[in-house]
Amino acid sequence: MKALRKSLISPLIVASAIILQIWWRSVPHYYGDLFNFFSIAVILLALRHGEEIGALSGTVAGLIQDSLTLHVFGLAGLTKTGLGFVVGLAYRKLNLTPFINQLFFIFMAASLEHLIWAGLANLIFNFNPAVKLGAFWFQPLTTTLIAGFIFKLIKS
Amino acid sequence: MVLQTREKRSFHFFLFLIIINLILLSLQVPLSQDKTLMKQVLLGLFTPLQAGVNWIWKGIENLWLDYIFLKNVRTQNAQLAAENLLLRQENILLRHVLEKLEKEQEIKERLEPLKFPIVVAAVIGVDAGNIFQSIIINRGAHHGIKANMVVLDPEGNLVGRIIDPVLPWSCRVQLITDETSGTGVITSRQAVSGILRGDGQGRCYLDYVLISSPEVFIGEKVLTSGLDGIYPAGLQVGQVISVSTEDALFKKIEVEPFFQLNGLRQVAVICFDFSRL
Repeated sequence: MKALRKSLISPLIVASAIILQIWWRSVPHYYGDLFNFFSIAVILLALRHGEEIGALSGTVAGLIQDSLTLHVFGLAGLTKTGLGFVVGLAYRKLNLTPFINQLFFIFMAASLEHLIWAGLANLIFNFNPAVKLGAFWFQPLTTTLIAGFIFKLIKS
Repeated sequence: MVLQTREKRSFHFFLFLIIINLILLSLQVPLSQDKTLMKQVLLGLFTPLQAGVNWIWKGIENLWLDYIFLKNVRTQNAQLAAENLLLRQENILLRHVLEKLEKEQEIKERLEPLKFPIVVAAVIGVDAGNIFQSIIINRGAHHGIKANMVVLDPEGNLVGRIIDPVLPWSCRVQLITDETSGTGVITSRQAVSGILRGDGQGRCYLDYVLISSPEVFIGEKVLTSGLDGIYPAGLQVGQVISVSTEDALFKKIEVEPFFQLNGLRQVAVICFDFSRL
């Protein structure tokens, strides 16, 4: 029973991320960038299953995100693949057992992914994310807090 | 040794995924295409899901509002609002056409093709990259919608235009606040014409207005000119909020659109090809 419950966690994370992201983006509002449930799901899957699943889920989640945007297809796929791989590899290699270390590392990875995505969009593809809305800058923080606490909950 | 093999395999897998993404990106760079097959397939798969989530959410909301909170009042109100929306759209467009044209014969000729249907659609999603670029609506080719059709908000203000791909049950609207959009506009007082371009942050700029052109005033309305072959003349777009002459050649005119993206739930699509006018 416990094993079944454990095996259901990852599909549940994926399904929840898709539904929550669609729900969150179903009505236009100025806090649209505050949450990115795809990033949260990629981080959680990378922490649970390692860098390979992390990278694969990053590609899939990123491409889904790209399909729902007007411009470049593959940009979020690229950055989220990196996010999943780095988080999965670092969790296995580094000492991230203390909760605060985990939070700090997730925050660094999420911020880096967010900035690379925005940088590539701006510099190469001439498409500006809505940075004037403050919510854009808070996304790595909300991603860190939600992913960190959910992972702690799953582990406990 | 085993660990090294695993790491190698992981790294190769990671590189493989990165290369796939880079190929997808590079396919779009030369032509800036927005219609890759994979994108269309994913969009086709996920817009029904968006519509489904939206439908369930609306169902819960309606259950509460219709049967628990305000029995029947909301249905009646929604019907009246939809009717009001259609009448208002028609009224605004006809008024603008009448204002613009002078001769009776011309009015008759012009009004003839304006007997177009209006499709009211619900917003089921916003752009995942930047909310000021595009929205997704729950009406598509099945409802007679085609690319380049004009989209207005419930007040009759210009929101944007339909862009490809138009799916059977949903489609995407490029907003006038998108950086790659271009709308032919004129100012209301001295009919200064220019191209309205979004800044991707919720505002627009009126481009190609020469320093030597007539004065543009703050607070002045900006209307569509009809010169771009997509939007009909006279639609309300926004108002001028700043004018500066820093550039040697062109004025820098900032325009705040009238339509409010925040909380936009319904739009009206004019099912008519205005390039035929």
